[in-house]
Amino acid sequence: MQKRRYKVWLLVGTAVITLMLTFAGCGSTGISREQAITIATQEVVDDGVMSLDGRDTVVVEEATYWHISFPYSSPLLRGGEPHVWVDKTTGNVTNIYYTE
Amino acid sequence: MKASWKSCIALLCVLIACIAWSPAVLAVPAVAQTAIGPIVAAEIGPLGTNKTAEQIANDPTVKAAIGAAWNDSNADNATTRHEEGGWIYEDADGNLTVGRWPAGNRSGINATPPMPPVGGQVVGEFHTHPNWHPPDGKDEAGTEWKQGPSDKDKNAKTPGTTGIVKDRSGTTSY
Repeated sequence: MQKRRYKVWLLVGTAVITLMLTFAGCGSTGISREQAITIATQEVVDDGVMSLDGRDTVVVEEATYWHISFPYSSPLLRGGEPHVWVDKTTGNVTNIYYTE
Repeated sequence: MKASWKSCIALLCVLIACIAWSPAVLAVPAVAQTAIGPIVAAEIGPLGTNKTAEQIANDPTVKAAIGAAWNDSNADNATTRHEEGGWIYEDADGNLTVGRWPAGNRSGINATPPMPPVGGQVVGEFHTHPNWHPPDGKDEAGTEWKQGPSDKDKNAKTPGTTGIVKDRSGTTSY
């Protein structure tokens, strides 16, 4: 009788652990914010369309990707910035575009 | 013995749960954009115009200035295209005038401090966007440009004034 109870507890424990790990997997990301910034920065540098001098870094976390943009820092400057999407799982750049 | 097993399993569950959920709980939230203030309000003057954005955009003086700025942008030259723009002032009699900014670079332009006429005020600003190409925004090199004012264009504009961007499709007010 006692052995059977232990088995039930073990079963319940295993199920709870499995559930926790499953849900945690949904909420976590493979690519950190800092890694995404590094990837996006390198992508913009390699693209060579805009210089990153005098720009801020803005990071927005979307469901499946990091959206990183680099707007001008100066309040007097009008103009666009590079926007880079970095996949949160693979780290691949899935989109790069510019505003004016 | 029985209680000990139960405790161990319960403790293990709690431990696993903590480890599993900590990345979600401790995740760094999205960073808000650095607050960038508009042009110093004291340099602008009172914002008392009764003109609408549409009226400002369609004013003959403003339209002519935007047309001239577009021509100066060399939009059709892939190597020399650049942004042009300026302030839109309203004088004491309600007439609109324009004060151009120095030429900008390919995708940005520096707004010099405004110098409205005596008794006048800044009511708007305009600048050109020479890179966007219809239909998909891509230029000759395949670089994708989004149409319309950038976030920075909107953030830098003084609240209460009219912003106008001119591109290949026409003008957009914001």
